[in-house]
Amino acid sequence: MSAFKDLVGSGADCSGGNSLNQFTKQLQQDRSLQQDRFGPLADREGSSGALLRSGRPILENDDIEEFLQAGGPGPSSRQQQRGMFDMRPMTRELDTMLPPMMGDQTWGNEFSRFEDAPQNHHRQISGPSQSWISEFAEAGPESLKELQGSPQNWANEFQAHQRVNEQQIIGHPNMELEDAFKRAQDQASWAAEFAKSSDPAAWASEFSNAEAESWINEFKEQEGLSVFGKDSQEALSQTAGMLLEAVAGSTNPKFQSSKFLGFMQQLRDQEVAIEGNKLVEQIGPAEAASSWAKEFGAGPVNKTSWEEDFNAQNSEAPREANGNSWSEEFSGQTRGDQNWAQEFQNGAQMPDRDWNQQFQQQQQQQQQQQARNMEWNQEFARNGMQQSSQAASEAAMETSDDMDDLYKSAWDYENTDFSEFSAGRALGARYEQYEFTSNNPYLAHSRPPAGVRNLTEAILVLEAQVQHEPDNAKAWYELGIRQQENENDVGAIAALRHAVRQDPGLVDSWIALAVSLTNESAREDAYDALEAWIMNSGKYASLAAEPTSASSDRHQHITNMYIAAARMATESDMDADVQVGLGVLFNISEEYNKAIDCFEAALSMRPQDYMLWNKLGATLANARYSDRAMEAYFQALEINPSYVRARYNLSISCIQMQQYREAAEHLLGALSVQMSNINAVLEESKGKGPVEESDLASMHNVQSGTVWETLKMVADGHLRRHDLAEACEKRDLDAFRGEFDF
Amino acid sequence: MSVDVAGFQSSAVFSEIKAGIDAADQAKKDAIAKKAKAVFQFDVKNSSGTVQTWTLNLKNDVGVAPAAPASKPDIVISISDKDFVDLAAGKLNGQKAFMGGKLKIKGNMMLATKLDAILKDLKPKSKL
Repeated sequence: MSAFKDLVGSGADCSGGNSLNQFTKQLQQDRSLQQDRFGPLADREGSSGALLRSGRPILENDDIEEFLQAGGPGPSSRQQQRGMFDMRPMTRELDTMLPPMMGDQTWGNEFSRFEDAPQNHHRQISGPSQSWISEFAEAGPESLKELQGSPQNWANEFQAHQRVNEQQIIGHPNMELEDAFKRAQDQASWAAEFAKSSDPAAWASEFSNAEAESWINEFKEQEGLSVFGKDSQEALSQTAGMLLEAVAGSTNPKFQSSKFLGFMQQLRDQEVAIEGNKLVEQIGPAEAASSWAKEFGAGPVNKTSWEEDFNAQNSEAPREANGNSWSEEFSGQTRGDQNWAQEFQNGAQMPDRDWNQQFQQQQQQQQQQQARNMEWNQEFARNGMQQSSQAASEAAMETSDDMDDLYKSAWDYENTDFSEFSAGRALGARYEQYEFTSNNPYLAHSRPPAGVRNLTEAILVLEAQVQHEPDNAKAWYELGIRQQENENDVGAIAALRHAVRQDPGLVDSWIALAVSLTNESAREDAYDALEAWIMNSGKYASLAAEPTSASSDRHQHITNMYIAAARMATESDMDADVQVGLGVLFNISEEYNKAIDCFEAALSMRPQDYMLWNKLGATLANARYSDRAMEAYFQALEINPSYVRARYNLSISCIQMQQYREAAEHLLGALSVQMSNINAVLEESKGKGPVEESDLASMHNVQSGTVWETLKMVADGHLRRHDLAEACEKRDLDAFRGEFDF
Repeated sequence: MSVDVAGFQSSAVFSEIKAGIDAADQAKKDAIAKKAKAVFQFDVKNSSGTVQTWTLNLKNDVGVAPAAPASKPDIVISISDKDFVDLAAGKLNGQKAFMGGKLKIKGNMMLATKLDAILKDLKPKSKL
């Protein structure tokens, strides 16, 4: 069940992905508009984004007005001016961005506490409640001299200048403001100061040069704790916290008071821990104060430090990406060549990005880091699965301890690997030995008839041929393909296995075999066939690497080979078979969107391959694009109207869309194609004599059992026509005539 | 035997499961039984408040029936008619349903997590 993994795991595919992460990102993105001007309008309520969010076009006038309101005259202006460089709103923003799970001890709070007590100098706060600002201050002593260590000072400095210029501003707000601004900046704007003081180095690089991981390490020392994410309980607690955070919005009282949630809370608060598959109560809750440090430490542990990430983003980030950068907006408003934002950018050699936004990005980065940590959890789940399956064999499982169950349900949900169940192999005689039609009229012919009129005839002719020449790999292959067309994967697998036994070099058989095996949920065998295709295709044989035994690695291993094979070709001489192989692989792994791309690519090379159109359709149906699936099936049927499998698949899509009557009609259409083919064959072979029941029964193998079973299901379960279901048992197509259109 | 019960949309789901089981040969049935090794009991409640029990036996005698199991089930799943249909159609996430109290479980909870994969395997699917 992929549900849990989808919910919290790090879904890498292009489909739904990680809903929790997306949800939390959504929450963050919502804030982004509030951050676009962290200055005056980013007030406590954070309503600055209202203007943008209202969808009203932002006119220049509005901007000016806004700016004037912020920086212009009036009793409140000074405070607002000061607010221009006041970090407080931003810290609050940060505060809201940080996961609530960290409670009072969030980084943001630490930061804002420091901000709220500006009289405390950085020396004082270099204690346990270390902030990045103080760290920064220590890191860049050169800039410190002039900047006095804290952004508060920059703000104050700026404020002082604004105060000086206030009178002028009152006089001619429109003109003077800009002027004042320039002057303030020319004289002592913090940006300029900073640009000068911080050597050639940028603010950001300064920041990062400063003992990249120092503050994380310092934290580690201060807290006397191992902060690194290897700590399994930590990660577990983190995950639990994230889960709780994501579901916090639920208003369902049952859910809120559910055991599961309680359990998650306990995990988060580290009141309990999981050791093996036992729950252990922790002696006293872990120190809350350490939580954010660990959180933080756990994030960037993967080689890259927070600062490095920060820097990397700086250097790479394209300008366009930055739709709501306040620096740009600001420069647009002031229309000055020398606005401080730009100055700041130039001085600090920062790309045109506001650092507010970068903070946000870091938050996302951190989230990604956290997501990386989730991998651990999956690992854990896998182990848990192993343990539990061991346990399952023991009677101990039967006595279901509540917590044990909860633990299992919690972690097994995350374990999507039910391959154990569906992996399987196509075992059994009928997959090995082809079951011939008992009364094949063509068996008597020494040579196949000149023209084959329909699918049934083709199958019978080929059956006769391979009975005469059992070592004819090509005929076996053809038979297998026709059985696929006839919606009979069991027959197809048997025939194709004969084909590859006779000639493993007939590589088309391997691909076809992989397709049928996939349809029969014989995953391991499908992998074998796909691997054999690579090994037997001279062109790609060199790509065949050491086979891996672990099934979890196997998919990746084989996929890598096919991707390597695909890369050997250029756009124009693309190998459609490689794309088909990849499409099958992605169907096995249920990465349907990737599979769709592969089949579409293959179709661009072979637009008349109706079986390829069907593969695309089936993949679309699996991905629940029922409409598009049906279009693809119709394409296939247009090329080959007697393509039974496409008709069968059409009915499956109809069932998915709950159009049961149409589903029945497509199934009946498929059956009537088969039936009329059979009749045609029988009539001819019997010299226009009457077709007996026994003759039809002998044609069992050229009918599709799957189609009949599905029709029975639709009649019984969906249409509630038990009489028709019984007719299906007897394979009586006539019972449906008159009532259904086929 | 039909698994259809009047007044229950879930009937269709069980019919699909039954079709899947009927279409499987003994080897496949054995494989299913070997993997699942459990008897599932479903207590489905429809809009008029009637509770109907279905049994999905994936243990000794693979099959589905609109009745309570002969022996003690390994898991009892209680769910509303509509939710079960949504669950089977993939519209409702099993885990969310469980966490939201829409799906109640008695017995070996781990088996519930396997149900998705089992249903997926048994229901007719689009063929490549």
